[in-house]
Amino acid sequence: MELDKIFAANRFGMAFERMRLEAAANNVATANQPLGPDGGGPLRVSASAGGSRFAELARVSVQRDADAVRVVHDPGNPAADAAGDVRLPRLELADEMSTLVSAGRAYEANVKALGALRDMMLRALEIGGNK
Amino acid sequence: MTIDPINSGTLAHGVAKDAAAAGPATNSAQAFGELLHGSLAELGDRLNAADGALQAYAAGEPIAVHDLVIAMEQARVSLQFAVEVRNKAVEAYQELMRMQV
Repeated sequence: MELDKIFAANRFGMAFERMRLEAAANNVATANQPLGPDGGGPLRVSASAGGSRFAELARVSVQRDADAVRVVHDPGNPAADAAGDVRLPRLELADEMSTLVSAGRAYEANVKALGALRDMMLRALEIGGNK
Repeated sequence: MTIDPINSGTLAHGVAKDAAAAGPATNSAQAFGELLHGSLAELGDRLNAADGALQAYAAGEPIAVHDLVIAMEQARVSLQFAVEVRNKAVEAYQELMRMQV
């Protein structure tokens, strides 16, 4: 059904925003945790452009940003390597917080859009009714 | 900035296709019955999907809440649609039965 595609588009939007929020929350949670010797940096969610037709959804990928690593010299840290360096994720907490807020707002917008669509469909069923 | 129409003409096209698939008017009653049957089967699938999602969620499987709620909403809208079609059909039948011959 044609309307299912709109539902699917909204569902995709919600799943995507939720994924962004989860990645940002994960980054905030692990901001000060040392990475392993070859562990990547913070999580980054990216979506490729969707198709040109309506409801052709984008592809989403979640990757660790291997370049966003800061190395701190801290020989006393149990996680330090032989040279006394500790690898930590390099991220701006302010950026992560703004991602949290914008993802939450976008999710809300998707919920609103879905609710409006649902209301329209139910209203349409009232056509010709004797209410 | 231009806004693309949402698959313009799809609806009319779909209706025309359905009408063509229904064939000549002689077996339209049967075709309508089949259509009704198909729609009811689809409704059943929707309700079962929503039910399955709800059970899986209750059992603790990692299902996103919005997926669950969307499935339930789709089931609700489909059910409402089926009820509305039924109301129209019954109304038409009663109207005919009340007719003085």
